[in-house]
Amino acid sequence: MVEQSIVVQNKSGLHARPAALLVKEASKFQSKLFLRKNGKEVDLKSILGLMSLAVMSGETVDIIAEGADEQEAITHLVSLFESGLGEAEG
Amino acid sequence: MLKNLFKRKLENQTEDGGWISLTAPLGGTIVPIEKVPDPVFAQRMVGDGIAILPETDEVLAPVSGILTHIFPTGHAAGITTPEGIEVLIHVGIDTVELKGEGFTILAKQGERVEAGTPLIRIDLPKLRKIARSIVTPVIITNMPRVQQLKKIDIKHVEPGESGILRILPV
Repeated sequence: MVEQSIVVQNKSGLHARPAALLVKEASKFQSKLFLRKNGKEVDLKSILGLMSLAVMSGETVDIIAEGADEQEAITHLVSLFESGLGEAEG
Repeated sequence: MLKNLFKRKLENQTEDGGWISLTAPLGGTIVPIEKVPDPVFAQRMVGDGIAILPETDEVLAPVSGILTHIFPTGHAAGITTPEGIEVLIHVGIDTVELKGEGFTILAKQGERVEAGTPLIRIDLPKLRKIARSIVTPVIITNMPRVQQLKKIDIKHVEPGESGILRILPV
């Protein structure tokens, strides 16, 4: 299992568009993937799950990956977050 | 006693050969999902469903289940049915940017809601002015759990009454 903290930087946080992009990318990996905020953990392959965390810009989340391709998965997801999830940074 | 019978009827949505029916969360005109002016919905990136151009000002739960999600800005709500189907109601396009303006949250994330429970009040005149679009997609976000999805073929829907989607879970 690997995990990494990251600060969410896109201006509107994790709403429909970034959540859809994250799920699309996360679903390419076999590993189980989770996102955690304030102790609450959700499936990174569920749009509704991600939105239920209500992550706002500037908040810190942990990405957790567990499985055969966990390292590639976490590297890819971190770079997605760092690129602003298809949105301008806030 | 009567109340219990009524409650049971609401909860027992799957007696129809396993099909789940969704009712209109808002009254208004039906818009095909491909016509929603945002590719994230039009290209079904979030999932498949139908959209409504609203004429009423309360967003009702389209189905019974757990209110898994109400975004703090009040522009979106998500319900997970007992069968595990996830339904997202997203009021308007790019409305996350309004930071809550025009929306009043009426229900609590995590609570159980019945079909028809008011979730969000919307200020329609204000949203018509300040939102890019008020078209409201109602989307199944976990399509791998859906075996069949049927959309209604009518132009106008009444809130809490008209069926809009029928879903057969896997």
